[in-house]
Amino acid sequence: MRTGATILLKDGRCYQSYQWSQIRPLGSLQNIINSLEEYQCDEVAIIRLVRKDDCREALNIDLRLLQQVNTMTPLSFGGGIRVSDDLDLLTALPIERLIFSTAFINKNTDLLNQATQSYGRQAIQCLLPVKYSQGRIEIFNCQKNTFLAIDDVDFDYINTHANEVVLLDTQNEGLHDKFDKEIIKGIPLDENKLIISGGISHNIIRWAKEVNLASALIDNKVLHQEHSIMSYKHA
Amino acid sequence: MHKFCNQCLYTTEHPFGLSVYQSGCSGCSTHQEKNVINWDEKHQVLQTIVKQVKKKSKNYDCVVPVTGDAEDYFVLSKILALGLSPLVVSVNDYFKNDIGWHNLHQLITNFDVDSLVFNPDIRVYKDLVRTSLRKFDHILLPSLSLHTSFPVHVAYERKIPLIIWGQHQAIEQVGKFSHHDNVEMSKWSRKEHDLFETDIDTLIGNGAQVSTRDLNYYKYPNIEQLSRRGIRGIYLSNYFRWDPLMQNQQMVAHGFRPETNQSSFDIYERAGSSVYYQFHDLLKFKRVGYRKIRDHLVREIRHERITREQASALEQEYNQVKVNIRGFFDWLDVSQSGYEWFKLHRLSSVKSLICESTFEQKTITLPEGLTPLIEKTYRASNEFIYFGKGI
Repeated sequence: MRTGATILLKDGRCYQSYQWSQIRPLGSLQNIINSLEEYQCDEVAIIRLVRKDDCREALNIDLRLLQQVNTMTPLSFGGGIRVSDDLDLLTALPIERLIFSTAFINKNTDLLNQATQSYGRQAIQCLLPVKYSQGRIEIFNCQKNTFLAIDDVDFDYINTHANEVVLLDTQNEGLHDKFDKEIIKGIPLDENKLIISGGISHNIIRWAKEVNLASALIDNKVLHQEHSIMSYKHA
Repeated sequence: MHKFCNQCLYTTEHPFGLSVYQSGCSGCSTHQEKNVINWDEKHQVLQTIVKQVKKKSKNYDCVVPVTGDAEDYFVLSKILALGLSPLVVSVNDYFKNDIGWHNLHQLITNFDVDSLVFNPDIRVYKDLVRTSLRKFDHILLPSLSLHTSFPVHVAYERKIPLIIWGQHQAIEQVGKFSHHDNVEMSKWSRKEHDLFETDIDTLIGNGAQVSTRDLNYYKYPNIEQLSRRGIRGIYLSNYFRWDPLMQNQQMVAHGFRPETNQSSFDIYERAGSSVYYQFHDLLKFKRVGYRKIRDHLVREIRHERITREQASALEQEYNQVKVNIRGFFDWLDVSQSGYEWFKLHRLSSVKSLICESTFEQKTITLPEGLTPLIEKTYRASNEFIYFGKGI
């Protein structure tokens, strides 16, 4: 199982998110990437913090920054890629995988097909920000800035177009040892294509290995202690 | 377009970054955590760390990096109360005045602890300061590089398992992490927060006539080797309710001497430095658009000793205070014409704040919330003492 990290990007700076409600500044992207590379992080998912107020100018700022990143660590990138023209901006970037969220919710097949043609299907990931409470799972629609009932999401469609699916536990991101395992039970997809993020701990990693998940992305915690990712890898 | 916090004086232009919400900012909300944290539980977590360390250590339990600041007195008093055996490590920044040297030696003798003072090669050090000034408008990067790496080298070389720092500045100022994150010392944090994204390689670059062989202690040790040896560094501000002005005032009882300060009401923090509230403060203003006084005022707003309006008025007054920079250029062996050139070409945007006299008196009336915490001050009689004995 791969062990990676999530970095949130907004207006050219990196942030940490706590429980989907509070963001804290983190620092410069290259400095963070350098450290994650030194920590031998398997992969880094760079996700733009976007809501319905996202605009092309903000996307361009983040893309210009990403273009300058120098790293050997595999990068995934997503957040705010909504039209085919956006894909053209990504071709020169040092990224291996593309993450889409709204495109899967809204079934933007043209966009996903174009991305698949350019990058290959193995590079297409779906990000589902998930909320679990009182036995119900809801999925966040970033473009509309609202949660949807799980029944409103077409998982067959996701299964067809996405190679892997990132499940972000929105209520527990930024917390320690809180990822809600019930989320996995409620998502009708094979475990081996699931990536979990939010509230990851050593215990959660051990459990993720047992149930054969594809990867775990540790959110804010990776930079909180030196070399902590090694202890997660060997959890 | 930068945003202002409506509770304190910081903006999103803060060098550590800042998140602004409808009701305050990341710094203000993180400060609020202090009022709801169960500090007894935090203390238990610290006790667990102490027990682990005492099992591992053979001689000293921890390295404590110090400069002789009031905060170092507070940190050391807590460490000794925890029953730890510390090795106090200091790096000579060659910027201390007689008060600074007194405070460092008083710290060591008052708490009766073993100490190690590193005096870097003055020629290399000055060359790095010169380059740092030229490239980054910053004169403290060489000393910060050493202060944040030499104690870690000492811990590694002497197999001391723990390094204990006082506050995490980025948590205190902008709330970069929650207190619950228990953030520890790291190479990333050092570069991001202490060295403002620079490192010694960018400091030498072109211009500095320095051999890399001379820079070993300026560089952070290999993190894999540190990890294998189980060396970690913690911040006490994650385990105690941090209130610098209050706790620093109490350190006067241990013989700490506050220094008369024209640039801030805080007479404790960095007392004994010939540059901190002088040329360094001027350069900070030039680089980031505000002076150290803003950090102090924001801190006191959050501790509810002053209002935002009072703080804003005080900042305006303190921002007018001029600083004497001539002493620094003499220290750097800069000629009169070089000094004049630098003022003309590099300090033109802040020239109204430069004075050449030793001291400029200006009386600023403080709000009632602050005055009980201000003790009698001392005035330095000798600046820029390379080597000193405090007693």
